[in-house]
Amino acid sequence: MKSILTTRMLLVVFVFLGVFSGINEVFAAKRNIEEERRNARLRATYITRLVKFIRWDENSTHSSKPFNIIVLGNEDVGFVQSLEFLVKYGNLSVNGRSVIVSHFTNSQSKKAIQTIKNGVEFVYFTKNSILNASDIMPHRNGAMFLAEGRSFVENESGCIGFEESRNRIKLIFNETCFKRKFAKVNPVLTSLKSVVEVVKPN
Amino acid sequence: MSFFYRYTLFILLILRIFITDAFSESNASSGLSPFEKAELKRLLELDVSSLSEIPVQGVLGYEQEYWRNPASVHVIRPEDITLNGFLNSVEALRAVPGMHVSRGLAYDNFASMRNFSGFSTQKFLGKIGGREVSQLMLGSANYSVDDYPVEVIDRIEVIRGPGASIWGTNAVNGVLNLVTKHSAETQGDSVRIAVQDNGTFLGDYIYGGELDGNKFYRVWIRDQEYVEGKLDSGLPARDDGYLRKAGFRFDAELGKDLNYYIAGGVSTRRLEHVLDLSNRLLYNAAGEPAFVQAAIKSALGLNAAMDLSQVSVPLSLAQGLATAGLPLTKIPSVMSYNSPAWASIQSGQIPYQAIPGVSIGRFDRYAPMTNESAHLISQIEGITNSDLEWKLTGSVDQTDIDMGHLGLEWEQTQFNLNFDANFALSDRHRVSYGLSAQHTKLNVQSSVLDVFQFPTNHIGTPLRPILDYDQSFTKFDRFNGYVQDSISINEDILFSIGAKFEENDLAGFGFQPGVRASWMANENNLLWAGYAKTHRQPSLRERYTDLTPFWTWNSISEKWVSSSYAGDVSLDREEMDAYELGWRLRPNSDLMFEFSSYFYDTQNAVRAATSVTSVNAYEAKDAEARGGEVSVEYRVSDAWRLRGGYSIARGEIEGQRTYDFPENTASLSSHFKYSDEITLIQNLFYSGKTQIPSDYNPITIPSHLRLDLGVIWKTHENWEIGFFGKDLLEPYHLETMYPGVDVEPARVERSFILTLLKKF
Repeated sequence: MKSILTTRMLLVVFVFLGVFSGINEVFAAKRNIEEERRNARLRATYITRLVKFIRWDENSTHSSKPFNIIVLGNEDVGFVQSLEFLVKYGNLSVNGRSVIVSHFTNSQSKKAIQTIKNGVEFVYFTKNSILNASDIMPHRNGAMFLAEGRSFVENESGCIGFEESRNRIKLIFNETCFKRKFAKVNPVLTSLKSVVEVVKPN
Repeated sequence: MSFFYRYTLFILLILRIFITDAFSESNASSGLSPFEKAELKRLLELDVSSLSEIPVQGVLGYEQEYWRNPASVHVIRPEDITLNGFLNSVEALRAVPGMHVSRGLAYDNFASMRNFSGFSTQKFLGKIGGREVSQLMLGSANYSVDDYPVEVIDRIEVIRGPGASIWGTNAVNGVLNLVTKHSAETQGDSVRIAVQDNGTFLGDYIYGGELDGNKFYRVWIRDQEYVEGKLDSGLPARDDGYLRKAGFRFDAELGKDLNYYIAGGVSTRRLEHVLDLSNRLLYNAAGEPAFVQAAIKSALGLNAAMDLSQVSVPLSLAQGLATAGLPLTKIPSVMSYNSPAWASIQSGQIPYQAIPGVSIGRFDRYAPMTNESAHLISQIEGITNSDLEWKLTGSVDQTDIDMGHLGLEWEQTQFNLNFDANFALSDRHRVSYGLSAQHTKLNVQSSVLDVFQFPTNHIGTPLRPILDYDQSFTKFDRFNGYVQDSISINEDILFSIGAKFEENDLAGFGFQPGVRASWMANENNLLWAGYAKTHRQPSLRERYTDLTPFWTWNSISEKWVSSSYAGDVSLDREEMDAYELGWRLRPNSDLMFEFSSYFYDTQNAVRAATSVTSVNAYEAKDAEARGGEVSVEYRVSDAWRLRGGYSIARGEIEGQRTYDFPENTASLSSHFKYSDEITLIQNLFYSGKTQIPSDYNPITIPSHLRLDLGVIWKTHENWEIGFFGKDLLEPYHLETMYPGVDVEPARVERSFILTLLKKF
């Protein structure tokens, strides 16, 4: 009786391994869109937190305007919609200033630069953005740059990078960005070592 | 099985109808789906640390709040406990469809889940603060004793349905997983006090601090004082007592992505419990002369042809007949048994249901029932550079439970070591696996109650305790391993396949496979299905404990003779094939319907023996259970939230219907935020009737509808005062009792509770 059970179990294990290997071979090469969308929702939520964790100088030229978050480039994983939804649902404001999310696709680059010149707080570069940090730098007018990846912070003058590492999303902060007088990061955030890594740019 | 196919077709038909409608709606929409919007609302409530803990690629079975999880899941938050005026977490399970919570005496709430195949509390796996809390002796847990202060609870995940491949043995009808917060989330002071109008009191105090930027701790204490209630008859329930607990947790970040915690607790509980002895000292009249036997039959209205050697009646009944003038010549003398002990526990008469219209003496013997326990759990977890998430957990539990009313005390020392890990095999596969070992040591003491200490010259069989444990079984080992792959087949279909292998001293070698899948039919509808084969190990009570529930005066030998039912070492594991289908419908981000249905086919379900002619105390029988649940969550407006649920459940043991779980339960909860400071709460709970089996005194618990109303006043930023009226529709109702142990159920009375909460 025991040997029959053992044989049956071995058979099930082999079937399991076979199915497992087969499915892996067939689908391994394709990126999971659902994960991309989930990643985008998390990044959008982080941004709504960052808005609160950065103390903006009340005497800055922007203090009387809405808090502007600009998203540059094309994207189709629901990042902009997520950010807009969170801002609207959470009735997000910073020191009494309402928060506005504006999305400029690659075909709207000129319009985007003009908007940034007028003063914005966050500029988020999507992966597909044709504009990069150096394009915007001359017009930044105090804006903070955000994008995916560590190298954006280390090599491209970015302020905040969203690093997907070890199946989690964490924040990479550029040390020099937060030494500027008009925006200070709440030290509570930078003390969360499991969440934030502060790096010096190359 | 023909029912199963009919049932499956029926469910599919309903799904087909609704999905068609939802499809046409969803095709017109774009952007975020209602599920995604709902998830964003949840993410918005999390702090930054919690956001950094959310995996991008999930393991099915781990992430209960992920809407694509192919399982029937209900998550209880701390505010679900405090806002509804529940004293502890087990009470909050009342609002979970598919769960039945019932209160026996003042101190215990029993929780069961989709259950029909035996003792209700034994059929789901309870994990509290990372520990498996079921005791091997009775195969059940005491969730009141193992509870935590509300403010250290992060969430309680109630997973209905088997989760064998990841959760393992005993996750038969489901899993209850209470997760505590990281110490960093409990910094400062928190107090919760709840006082009931009858004097019942619960107080929690928690203090959390920081040692440096990476090390946090908390300590907490709890005092719970139970005030005596009333039994159904109005007699005092003698259920007053106390439960006192203390605990701590220390968390440290040892390095980047390397975290450690150690937590522990001690508790002590002092109560009394009753043992119903009304039908435990019997008289057999077979030795009486024929004319006396005839007179007995006549007096009791029995059939004249009945053979009295096959019938024993309570001694108090025979003594009553003798007092009434029947010439019983062989009735035992008061010197043949401990008559003073019996006289001291008699408290009137109760109906003898075996013979309508006849009463017998009521004997209820109270004795201390104590519980001393301590535990220590430690966990280190990390993520490697190659994306392997792992955690190593070790725990030791020490419990000393003295059931003085039964003359049984056991000390259980249990060691657990678990390793769990998961890694991405590719973008579409996440493999989780684990190994665990458990070692349990027992020291069991059985004693003969004073009422069964007969003079040796008056007994025909040796003296025996009521529960006599076989001392040759005091060490038990369990080893298991599991592997599961969570696969994203495509954007819409998630699939998991896995199995658990186990070597268990109580259940032998077992293989528990499980397959689950969810399909995002469109942006509004998610369908899921699952199959699992799962095991439950028999308890030590069922397997190694002889039961001697009564003694009979043999009027032929004129000796007391015990009747014993052996534990059954041949009782192997219960094996259940479970089939589930579910449907999540979210028309918009504020409204969600969830439908789940199940069919459980259990082989060798352990049941208490139903016949006095049985050789063993427990028997293995085949059982079937089927049913389903509907739950609704509706955020009517920013100020008003509704949550409701309904469950239907039917069970059969070898073709015969059982009623130890209510066929219908329902709940409706409304939270209306009248202003920023005031929230109004209304809860309705309905439970259908249940039957509590007994060899002589079966009781039907009627259905009941319970209405609770409450108001929460947020006086300051972190302070809340609550006032709740409970069971407002009737002065009292009945919910449950221990079969064969309690004489009658206790009243669950209308009550008023004042709560004070200071959050962190």
